[in-house]
Amino acid sequence: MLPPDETGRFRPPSDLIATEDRFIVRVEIAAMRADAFRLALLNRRLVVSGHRQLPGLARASSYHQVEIETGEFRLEFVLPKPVEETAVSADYDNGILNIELPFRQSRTVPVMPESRSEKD
Amino acid sequence: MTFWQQRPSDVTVAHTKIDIKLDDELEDEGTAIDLPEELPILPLRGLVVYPQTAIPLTVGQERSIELVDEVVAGDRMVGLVASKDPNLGTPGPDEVQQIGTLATIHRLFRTPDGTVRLLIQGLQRIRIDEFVTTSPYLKARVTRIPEDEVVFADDIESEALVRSIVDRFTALAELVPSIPQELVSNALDVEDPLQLVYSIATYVRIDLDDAQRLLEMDNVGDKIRHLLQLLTKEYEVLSLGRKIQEDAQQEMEKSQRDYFLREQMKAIQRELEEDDDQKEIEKFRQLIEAANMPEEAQKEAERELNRLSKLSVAAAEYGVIRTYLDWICSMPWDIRTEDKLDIANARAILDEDHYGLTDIKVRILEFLAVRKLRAERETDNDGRDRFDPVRRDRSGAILLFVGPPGVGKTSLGASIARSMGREFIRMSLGGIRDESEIRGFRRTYIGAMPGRIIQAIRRAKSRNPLIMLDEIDKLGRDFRGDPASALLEVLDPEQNAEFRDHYLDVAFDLSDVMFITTANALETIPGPLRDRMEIIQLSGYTEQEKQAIAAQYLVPRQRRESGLHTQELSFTDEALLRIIRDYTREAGVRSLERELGKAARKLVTQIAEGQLQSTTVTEESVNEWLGKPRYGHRSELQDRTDIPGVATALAWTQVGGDVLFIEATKMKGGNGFQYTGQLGDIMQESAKIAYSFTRSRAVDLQVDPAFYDAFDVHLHVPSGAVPKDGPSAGITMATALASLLTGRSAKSNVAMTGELTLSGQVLPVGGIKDKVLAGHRLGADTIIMPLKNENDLDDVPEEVLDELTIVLVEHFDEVLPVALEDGQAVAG
Repeated sequence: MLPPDETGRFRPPSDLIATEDRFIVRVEIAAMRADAFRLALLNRRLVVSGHRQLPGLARASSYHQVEIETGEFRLEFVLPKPVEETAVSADYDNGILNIELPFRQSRTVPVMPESRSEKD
Repeated sequence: MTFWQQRPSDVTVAHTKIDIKLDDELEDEGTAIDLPEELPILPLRGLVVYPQTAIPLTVGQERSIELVDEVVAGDRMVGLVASKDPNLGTPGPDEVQQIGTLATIHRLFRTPDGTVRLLIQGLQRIRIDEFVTTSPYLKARVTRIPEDEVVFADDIESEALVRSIVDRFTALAELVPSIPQELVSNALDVEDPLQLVYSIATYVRIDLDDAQRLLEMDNVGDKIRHLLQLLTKEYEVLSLGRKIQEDAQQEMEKSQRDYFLREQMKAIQRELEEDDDQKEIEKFRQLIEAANMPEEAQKEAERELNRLSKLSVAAAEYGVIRTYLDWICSMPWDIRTEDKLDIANARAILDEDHYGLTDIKVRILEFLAVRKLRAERETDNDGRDRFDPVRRDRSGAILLFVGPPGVGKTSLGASIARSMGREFIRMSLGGIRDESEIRGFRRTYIGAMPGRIIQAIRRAKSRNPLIMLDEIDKLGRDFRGDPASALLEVLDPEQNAEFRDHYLDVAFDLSDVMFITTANALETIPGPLRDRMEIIQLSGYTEQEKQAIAAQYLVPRQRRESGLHTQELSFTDEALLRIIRDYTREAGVRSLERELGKAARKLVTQIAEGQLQSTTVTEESVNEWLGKPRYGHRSELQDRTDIPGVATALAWTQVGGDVLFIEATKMKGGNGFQYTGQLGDIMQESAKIAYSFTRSRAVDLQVDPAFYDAFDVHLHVPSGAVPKDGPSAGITMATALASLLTGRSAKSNVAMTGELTLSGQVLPVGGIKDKVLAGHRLGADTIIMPLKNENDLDDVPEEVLDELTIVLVEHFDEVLPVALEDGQAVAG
């Protein structure tokens, strides 16, 4: 598990996987309401954040070990290549947040190398 | 830029739909923290927690644990403030700083002993506005203090400031091993200056007050400058500390290294030498036992052996003690040779080795006979009447052979040893100046060793050898001591049973040792030393003796040495005599032997060249073999005494008898009498007596009394460079003066000796035998000598006396008629 970031938000464990046609991001974070997630995508940056609140316990309980993070969390991914922003989908099942990001088609990739090779 | 947005309704998942949107917080972080109304406050002892840094904390106090439990159950937010006095146990509201840090608790672990470990994350600066409760723990209302994040208006300046603090921190981190390298690089990866300041401040040790000030400063530029100052100071303290530590370490490492190496060396040595060491000590133990030492020596040896066994082989002392034990164990404490007391056999051996020397042989045989008798009687078990309560029973003897060189003193010693069956050790004392050479050096000195006496005994491997001390008259003496005095102890039969060498330092019994010393002259031997020895005079040999020695001993020996057979080289008697007379002039036979050797070698050369097979040297062919005669036989006396005023005296020197020519001359003047020729005091007096005597007899000598007023007289004794002394030239001087005054030459065939008194009496003198032999050797046929020396003529061989006319005189009046030409009696 990663240490908390400098503003105190914790970072739940996560995977970033590339398949043939898409990236899959998985975040292990239990006890969330689906609407408590905030997902944001800007170019190749994907930010997953949210707030987790575990159910409160009776007062006067004494903690002997605390490892489950609560409160704000935030994850930031830099995707290795552009994705088709309109085709992104996400679901939350069994404590796992699953985000699928299909690769963007080449039509939108700007082509530059020609001019460089001419200079050479 | 293209922002992509999905409306919530568009995403559908199995259980829930997830809202994906353009989030305002994508770039803007950390503003979303809600401050609770009442914040639990955890006072920290000696620690300031900065925003934006994670730090482990340990909480032990009950109220703090309670606080933590409640915070963890809630929103996990806590305010951390430093207590003003770090020694305070449970600080109250007034005893904590006003400004602190808001933090969240990320992890908690309670250890078995009840303390709680936390991982907390600092978030923001807060100010405590008001404490709302102090029980069960502190709680306060707080407000956030925003940071002023503008370092400098100028980017370059702020960049420079940031870089310098990075550099300083990197340098510092190298000095502090507790800062891991990855932490350093993590800290430096931070781009935000504020975060940089806080993370550096977390890793570096900073005084509580300074840390609090750092926290309280609003402007990040001020923070950096302040931190830079602190880092610089810390760096200096640390580098100085490290230098001190390094110096100390180096010192320690060196001494420790030395110590380890030495221990290792010892261990290795032990491994290597333990056996040898033990063997050596065991060896010495056996040697000590075998040596059968007297009690004193045994005790000393055992004591030293004990010391040796306690020492390491590497110790300097070890070698010293070993050497000592070597010495003491190898002394022949209990080894002696059995004396051969067969008189007939001894006589045969002595005769075989030496010609003549009858007196000495007789003395030696007497000595042996006494030993033999004593040995026989002792076995009678009848020792009572021979036991002397005062004087020690002595079995050794100390003989002193005095005589000219080459007469066989040293070889005589060797033959005595042979005839008695004793070990023979010879050592020359000539030139020894240091007492320690005789008696050894004290063991305390480096390179100490026993004296020559002990060395000689060890070499002899017997405690009763025959030790020959050669040239005892040539002992030196200087500031280092007097070896002659040391010899007193050695040569005194009363003392030498307890001879104590400085090195051995235990008594060694020398009383069984037979000492023979040799000397050329008695005069230079100190009286006390001379008294302890039995003096045996060896005179020079006569021509006949030399001839016999040459024929019987020297010629065969030279033949042997040159590898010649008996028939190849021989000398006729006449040839030998001629060599003795014309080629040598000596009391002994050394030159004679050399001449014979020369002839032998010449013959060997000729045989080798094939010119000759063998030869017999005859009187006539001597010239061929030895060249021209070195001394004109009988011619010198003739030449020297031709003119009036020269007379021939017989003298005794260390190398045997000799002749001296005493010259007198006169000249006009009237200043009286003078004499030259390095005359000693006694001889000067003799000269004065001779002068006064002849003057007083002027009338008898038919000399004009006025002569002495008109003429000077000068007396000279050649050779001028040789010191001379003694009274025995008295009558010769008077004869020379009488010859001068009367104008009558002294007869060339007359030589004389005798002391003259003022009244003309002729007194006896010493060394008659050598003098007569010298006179004879040099061609005088008439010898004038004192009547009172008549007995001494017994020593002179018959064959010499036969060829001489001996005139014995009591008064000078009897001298001149014999000594001067014309034979007329002057006296009267």
